[in-house]
Amino acid sequence: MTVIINGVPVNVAEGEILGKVIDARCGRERPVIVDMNGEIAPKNRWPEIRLREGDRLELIEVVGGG
Amino acid sequence: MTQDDVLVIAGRSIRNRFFLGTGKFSSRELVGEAIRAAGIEVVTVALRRIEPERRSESILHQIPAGVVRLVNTSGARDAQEALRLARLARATGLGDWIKVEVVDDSKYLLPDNDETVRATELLTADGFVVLPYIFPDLYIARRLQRAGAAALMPLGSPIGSNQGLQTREFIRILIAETGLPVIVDAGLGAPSQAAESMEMGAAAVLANTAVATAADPVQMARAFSLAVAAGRAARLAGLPPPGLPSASSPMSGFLTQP
Repeated sequence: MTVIINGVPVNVAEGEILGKVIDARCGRERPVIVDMNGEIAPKNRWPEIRLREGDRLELIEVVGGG
Repeated sequence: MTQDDVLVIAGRSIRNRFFLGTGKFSSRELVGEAIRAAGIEVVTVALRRIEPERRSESILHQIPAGVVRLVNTSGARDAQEALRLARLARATGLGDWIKVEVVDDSKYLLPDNDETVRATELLTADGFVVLPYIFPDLYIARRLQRAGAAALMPLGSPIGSNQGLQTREFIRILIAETGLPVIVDAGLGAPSQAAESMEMGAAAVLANTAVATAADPVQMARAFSLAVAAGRAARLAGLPPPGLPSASSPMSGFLTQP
């Protein structure tokens, strides 16, 4: 199935766990903020959230800025 | 300067009135060095989409514990986007200090003052400590004050331009007419301009580009910090007004007198 990650369509396994997708893309150590379909997904829920077709994820991090 | 000359924002006491932006540094390590060397107490950071292929250490690791992380809403083009970014920042444990930055102009990067007022209203209602970045305008400043802004952050000149205090007369008006701390932000290109801002009565100064793009950013961060402290000391000392020539040495008892 396809989900949208940071605006780009990505194929993931049916019912994939959100936490696995984040680990694979960002590593475990990196501080990541997740917005799922316009709502913040708290980190403690990542291991239990199952993705659905068309879910929109924004994976966000803190960067230098003025 | 006395030990108790502190800037208090939302109950937080700040002694170093030079705030540092953390963008544009050539390495994350330099950000940490500059913070430590200059004794910085408030830094700004931004939120962006993650780049999975760039597996570098987070900039957060370079910011010592106890330093306030003022999250900007750069990238927001309206109040709702600013609110969304602020909530994301809070959800990640970055605290609740937000520099509202609403810019919908990619050429001059000027802030949209009206949307900034709307964003400030939304954010203060949601419990954030809001420091709005604005073009210095008295009517907007008053609306922001009514909306519960914790400080005002007027631009000295366009972001990253190093053009200095082009808006000085309008910033003076905000300092004189609002009871809010005025933090001069954006466009300052040299420590002397930061000192002038403080002499005018600004509560603090924020700079980023002038530090990050200097040949030696760590030394430049120290220079700005010293200049801000000097300007603050001069303000507290009371600057004498400009006037006609007046000799500094006694005008009598000259050796050449007959």
